[in-house]
Order: sequence, then structure tokens, then C-alpha cells
Amino acid sequence: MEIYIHLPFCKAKCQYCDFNSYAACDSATIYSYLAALCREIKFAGAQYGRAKIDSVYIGGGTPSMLEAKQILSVCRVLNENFDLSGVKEFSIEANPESISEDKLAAYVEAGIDRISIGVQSLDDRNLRSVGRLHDRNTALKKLELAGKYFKNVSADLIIGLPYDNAGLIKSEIDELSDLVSHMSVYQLTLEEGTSLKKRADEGRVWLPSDDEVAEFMDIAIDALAARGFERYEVSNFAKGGEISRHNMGYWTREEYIGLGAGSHSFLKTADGCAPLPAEIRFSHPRDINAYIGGINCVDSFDKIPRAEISVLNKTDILNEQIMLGLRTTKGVKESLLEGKIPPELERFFIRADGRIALNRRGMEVMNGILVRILML
Amino acid sequence: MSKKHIRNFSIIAHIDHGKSTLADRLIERTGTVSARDMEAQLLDNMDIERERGITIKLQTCRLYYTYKGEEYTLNLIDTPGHVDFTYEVSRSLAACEGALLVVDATQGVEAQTLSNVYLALENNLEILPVINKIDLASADVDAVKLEIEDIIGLDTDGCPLVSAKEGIGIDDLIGQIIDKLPAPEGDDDAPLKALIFDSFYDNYRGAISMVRIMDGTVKAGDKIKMMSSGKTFEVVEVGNFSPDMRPAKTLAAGEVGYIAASIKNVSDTAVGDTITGAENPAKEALPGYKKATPMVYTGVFPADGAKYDDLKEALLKLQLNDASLSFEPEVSTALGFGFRCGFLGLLHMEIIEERLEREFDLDLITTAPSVSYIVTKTNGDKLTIDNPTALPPMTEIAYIEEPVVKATLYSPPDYVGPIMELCQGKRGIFVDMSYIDPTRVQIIYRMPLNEIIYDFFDSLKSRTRGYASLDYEMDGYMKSDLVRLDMMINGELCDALSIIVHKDNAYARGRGIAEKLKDVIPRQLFEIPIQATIGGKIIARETVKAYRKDVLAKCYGGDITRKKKLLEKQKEGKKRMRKVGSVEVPSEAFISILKIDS
Repeated sequence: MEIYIHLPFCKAKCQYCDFNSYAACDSATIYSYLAALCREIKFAGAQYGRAKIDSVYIGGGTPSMLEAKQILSVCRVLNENFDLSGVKEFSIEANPESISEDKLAAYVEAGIDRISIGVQSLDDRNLRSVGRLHDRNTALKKLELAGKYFKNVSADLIIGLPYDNAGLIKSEIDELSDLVSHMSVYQLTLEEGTSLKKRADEGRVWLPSDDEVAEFMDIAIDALAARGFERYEVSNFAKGGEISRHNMGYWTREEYIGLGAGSHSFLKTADGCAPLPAEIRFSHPRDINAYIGGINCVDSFDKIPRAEISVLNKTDILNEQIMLGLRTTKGVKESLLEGKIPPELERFFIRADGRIALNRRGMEVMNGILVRILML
Repeated sequence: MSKKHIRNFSIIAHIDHGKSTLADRLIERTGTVSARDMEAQLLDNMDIERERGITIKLQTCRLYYTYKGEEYTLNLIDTPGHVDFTYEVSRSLAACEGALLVVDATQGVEAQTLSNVYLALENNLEILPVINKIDLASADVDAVKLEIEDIIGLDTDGCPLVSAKEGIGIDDLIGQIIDKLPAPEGDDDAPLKALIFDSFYDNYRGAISMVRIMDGTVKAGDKIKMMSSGKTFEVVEVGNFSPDMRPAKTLAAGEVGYIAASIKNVSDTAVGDTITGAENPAKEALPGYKKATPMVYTGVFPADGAKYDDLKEALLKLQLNDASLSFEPEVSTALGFGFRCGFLGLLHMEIIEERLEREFDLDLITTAPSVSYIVTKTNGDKLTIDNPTALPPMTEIAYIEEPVVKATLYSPPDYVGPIMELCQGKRGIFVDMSYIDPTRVQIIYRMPLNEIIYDFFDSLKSRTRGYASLDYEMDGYMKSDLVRLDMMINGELCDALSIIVHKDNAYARGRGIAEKLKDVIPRQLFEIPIQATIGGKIIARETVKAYRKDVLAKCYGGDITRKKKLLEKQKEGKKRMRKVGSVEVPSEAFISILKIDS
């Protein structure tokens, strides 16, 4: 089983971001949130304390924005309520501007062994244009610093930013590849309601076309391969086998408990908490105050109010296995897709050793393919 | 009521010359409808009529007016002004003795002014010219009077000068209607002869005939007989419109009104038929009307294939009140089940489509409009083809004939050049041009109807800044070098996109359609070739490139539900697409090709 902890705080909202994060929260709100989070951890521990935890991921928001002692206390409560002895990966997300030596030391003290840093670009114009708070030099400096504390450092890179070009993408990857063991390379998506989408619609910011972005992704994949980074999922690349176990768990449908506002959980066993003896997914309300209120008004895990609950039937499970499994380069068992692939789609797949996966072209247009082969 | 106190009249005019406003003013002035209940353009009942400011269906209303101490009954029949509805006009006119010819004081005589005058003359009507909009600064009453005298040959001395909008000159007009238009004739004691000039379906009373009584009388309880079919019915109610249906004791010779006789099918109250008494029938029927023939055909399909039955139901309902609409089932490989519909013209087509969408809440896909061609095969057989897909292979065709119209255009002289260029470009053959007066030119072209039904009217209006007016009448058929232009999408023939065009225009049009389709067909998983072909020979090609970016880059914090919802939404979007082979084609694609200038 995996644990995900959500810390929805940021100094400022990046223009492309539609994640559950809030800028400029006062310290009282953060304090109440952390108190509720710890309360939830205790409830969850009472329910699942005996479960073997494989990985923990502290995401956000910007977890590194919090003070070192705040992270330490969350981790302490987690440790007190769960058996973390078998944890093989403990990650935290961080942004370059808020990383400091004392925080890195505290993370190590808390048992964290992997850090994922939101670099996004090494071009200052790009960084400024989407409202990132750091610059190129800070990013490089902090990556180096993180390397002193963690063997396993990951960098996030966004492709499709306003000033991107083929040369820039390649040089970014070349520069980063010496500093990290893992890279997540995301194609920029203009999400509804974000300020970047609004600006793009109004013609105030010009982004590379979809075709250019696809081209850049191709360049990135080749550059990464040349530096020893192997693609193991649509957007994820690892050197020396340092794949993210936690994220891999999502694609292989491991169970996970999400703690914190807007977080999602997936449980396969009833074990007293599920409303029905089936596989279920459920989530918390995204709103911080709704989350805090919900936690504070109950006294056990199974009574926590949920924003969404879905019980998966056989078709849902099969759809998920395909939809998630095909994100990975390992793909899924061939039998899972038997008779589902129309001949004209064959060109997007590769088959080997009883498994079937999307090839590079297939990964580019995965949604279009899924819509044709899933039973929606 | 004595016949000398009745006047039956129509109002005829070019579109926009203020017919309906004048009708409203007459209704208001005679106190038929209280000012409180007045709605602008009272006789235009349909939303579409009010919004577009046009009359589609003829309407009738009975007015009472005291003149020189005597009470008169005036039966007013409002008529449509658009060229598509000439047929409706001619029906109204047959029920009248007189017509008001309304001419806009700022516009003068226009194309339909004349065609309506000819219709009125054919029906031996007394025509009273009325000059409207005299309140406007740009009104030139004297010039318009001269035009009416020169072009139409009507005496305009002392003719009513009115402003329907401002209510100026209405009393004088009503006085002149009574003084100048003849009273009806007819014999109350002769066997009943009632001309059906319109009919409609009432949910409670069944099919109702709108009639002009020529001879005899009719009242509730009478047995009547339809002279064309011999079917008999018992009259339940007679009455007149003021403008709502108002029952009356009897209808006598010279009167206009309605007859309800529990008739279930509108087809039993055929327009143009004569109603007579079942017990004492008239010897011969009144001369009826020519049946309205559809000029424009198009395939109408529900955007959602499951709504086929709803579409059928809706068409049947519309047909009850609009006999000029014809339809029969059609199957398209691309669009599924639908109907081949025949319309009087493009406006009629637009209105029916709009009513289907609005009143019946249907989403429609319509194919390119077509006309009716006469195809002579090499073995001598003759076929009438109104659907391009029904055209036999070229090898079996000896020749094709297409319908031709005589188009009459009126315009200020400044636009003669652009008009001629337009007509020439549409394969028009110049017939005549003459100056009506220094400011107006009449131009006559003989043109294939096929060229008029696309965007001729819009092009004409834009090239002449709206100053030119157009009227046309059928003028037989002519042999033409016509071919069927087919569109292939990813190698598959898309039947719904086939059109019949003149060979000389085929290349340009094929290129135009291919380019348009390239723009409206979204990029898909594969490259999609779009080809225009004639008889299997490719004449144009465009390619829709395959897309390369359609993936959720990030699947954050284990939020799988959101990803599923996105895919479901994407799937929903696909359902609204039409499949041509394995290619998804949006509904707009079928409509967009109608708007191509070639």
C-alpha cells in the first residue's frame, strides 16, 4: 500500500497550474490544515496501521514552502501511526526558490530519500512568462545542493513553453542529466480556468503549436536516451533504474491512501472502511476549509465526508488496467487487449513476450487510441 | 348582409415594402383588435415571421368599418412577398375582387412588385396603388408615382399616400378601398360553390378550410361535398377571422371565412378544390390552382440518428399546414436515415429547417440543395433526378437537361456591371436590359436554377449593397454539360457530399469543397486524403494531417477519475461525429460546403 500526502500551499500560483493549490495562505490556515492532516493520519493509522507501506509521496502545492519543522512533525505523526519500516521510496516535492540546506537536512532526518524538483525550464524568459518564482541559476544551484543530500533527485521539465525551441530543449536535458537520476517531461496542457489559457485565448501569449510540441518531445526523448535515461512511462524517464515506485504504483493499480485536501484514494479491499466489498476510489473535497471541517467533525477514518466515491465494476477495472497500463512502456498483458485493437490502430502498438505496449507514436496520441478501444 | 357592403382584397407588395404593417394599421383603425391586444405585425403569427419581418403564410382577417353612414365588411388577405411564395399569393388573389399594391416611397417599383401585379391582373383584380412610407425623409412620392404609371400603367392620380408606421392616410385609404374596389358578385340561392384557398389543421376541430363563397350559402349542419374527391362531410361550424376564428351563423356568396366539418385529413381539404352542397351540388367546379411544384431539393437528416422518427413526425405536422412541402425517405451511407425534401425555394427551405429545429427541437444536417434534372439515357428512357446520388453512370446518359429561370433584376445603374459579371459567372444568358427611369435599370437573364439556389441572392445583395432586387420564374429546361462531383474521404465515397455541377465549374468547385473539408474535418489518428472526383477521375486533393498530440501528460496525485471523465467526454464528442469509413466528420462539414463561392 502507498500513502500520498497533499500540501496545497504555494507562494504564487503558476499560470498553467490547475492543481489543487492555494497561494498566499496565512500561517493560521496552514496551522489548522496541518492539524487536520495529522488528525486524518491518526484516523487512517487506526484503520490501516498494520498495512505494509511501500512508498510515501508528499506532494503539493509546494511542500518545500513549509518550514522544516512542519514537515518533520507531519512525518513524525506518520511514523507513529504507520509501519514505515518497509518503505522503499519516500519522496517530497520541492521548488528551487524554497529549497534550503536546513530543509534538505530535515527531510533526510524525517526519512525522506527522494526529492522531486520543479525546474520546468532552464530559460529565464520561459520561467518568468509562466510565473515561476525561480531563475535558471537558482535551479541549477539547488539541484546541485539537493544532490549532496539525496542520491535520488528528480527534475520536472515542461515542454511547450512560450520560448521553447529544439535547441533549448536539447540543452536543458543535457544540463539536467548530470544533476538528476530521474526526469519527468510534461507536455504543457492549457487547462480551463488557468490564467495561461486565458492569456493564450486572448492572444497575449504565443505558445508552440501541437505539432511543434510533439517535435520537441521527440527531441527530448532522443536526448534523454543519449544520456542514459530510459522512458518507462508517457512522461517519465529514469537513469540507472531509478524509476518512481510511487508513481509506478498508480499505473499498476497498487492501493493507495490519499491524505489531505483534494487527495484521492484507491482501495481494493473492504477492510471495514469501504462502503461495499469492491474496488473503490474516493476523494476529499478540494477546498481547504471544507477538508479541515470534514476531518474535525468526525472521529474515525470511515466517517470522513468524501467528495466523490466510485465503486468499480468489472468493466471499470478492465478499462483502468488498459488505460493506466498503456501509459507504461511495459504495457499490459496481450490477453487484456485481445480483439480490441482495430487493424488500423495496429501501427501504434508493439508486441513482445506476451505483452503489448504503445510505441512512441502511439504514446503521442494515447487518448485518441483509448477512446477507440475502451468500453466507455 | 348585402354584397355591396363587402370588399374582399389582398395586399401585394415587394418584400419589406410594409404590407404587414399596413395590415396591422387597418386592423387597428377599424377597431377589430383593441390597441391593448395589438402586437406588432399581428398577422405574422410565427416567431420566424416576426423575427425576420416577413410573411410566410397567407393570413386573413375580417374588418368592420362605417363609411358615409353605412357599415361595411372588409375581408383582408395578407400575402407573402418573397419570390418563393408566389404560389400562396396567387391563391389569395383568387378569393378577392381587388388588391392594394403597396409601393415603398423610398424604393419604388421592385421585382416582386411587378410579378405580383401580373398575378393580380391574371385574376382580373382591380388594383389600387398605395404609396407607403411617405413620412421618411428619403421618400420621393412623385418619382414613385411616375414609376407606377410608366412601368405598371396604373393611374396614380389621387392614390392613397400613407405611412403605415405612423398611421397617416389610413382613413383615406379605407374610403378608397370602399369606393374603388368592386363589391363581390354571386347568387345566394344558387348551389354552393366555395373555393378553398387555404387549409390548416386545428387540434380540436380537425382540418379547416379557408374559403371564399362564390355562390350559395353554407351553415352548420349542412352536408357538403368536396368536388374533386366526392367525399362528403357535415359542417360543424362556419365563421370568419377577426383575426381569431369567430363562429358565424352562415357564410353567403361574396364572403370569406372558414368551414370546419370534422375532417381528419388536411389532404381532404385540398387547396384549390371547390366545396359544394352534398344534396344540391353545383354542376361544375371552380377553376382550381396549379399545384405548387418544389424547385429545390435537399436531404434532411437528424444529427442524432435516433431522432429519425421525431423528424418524420415533425415533417408530417409541418406538411399539414404547408402543402407545398414534400418529402420522402432517403438513406445515406454517411448520414443514415433521413428525408429528401422538396421546397418552393431557398427561403422556404431555410424556414422549414428553422421551424424543425426551433419548434420541434431537432438538430439537423442538410445536404447541398439540388434542383430537378431530366436525364435522357442512351436507351431513350427519361428520368427525373433530384438527388445527385441517383444519377446513372455517365456512360448510360445521353444528355441531361436542367431547369432554367427567367431572372428579372432591378437595380440602380451603378451596379449594372457587377450584376452582369455575377450573372455571367453563373452561366446566365443575357436577354434584355432597359432603363425604367434615369435611376433604375431592369436586367433580364436566362439562368440555370441550379446556379441561383446556392448563394446567388446573397452575392447579388452584397455586390449591389442591397439595392438590387430579384424575381424569377420557371422558363423550361435546357441541355447542359453537367457532371456529378463526388467527394472521397480517406478513399471512401461520401454520398451526402455529392453534387451535380456544370463541367466548366467542376474543377473550381471540387477544389473549393476539398479545401473547405480540410478545414472543418478535425485532425485524427491518421492522415486523411480528401479527393474530389468526377466519374472516378480525381480532380482535386487535400490532406488532413494526422495529429500528434493527444495525451494526458500528467496524471496527478492518483486522480484517475478525472482522466476517465476526460476520455468519456472525448468519446461523447465522437458520437456527434458522422462516420465516413473510419474517419469522423463533424456535422458542420456537410453544411459548410454550401457556402463556397466558385
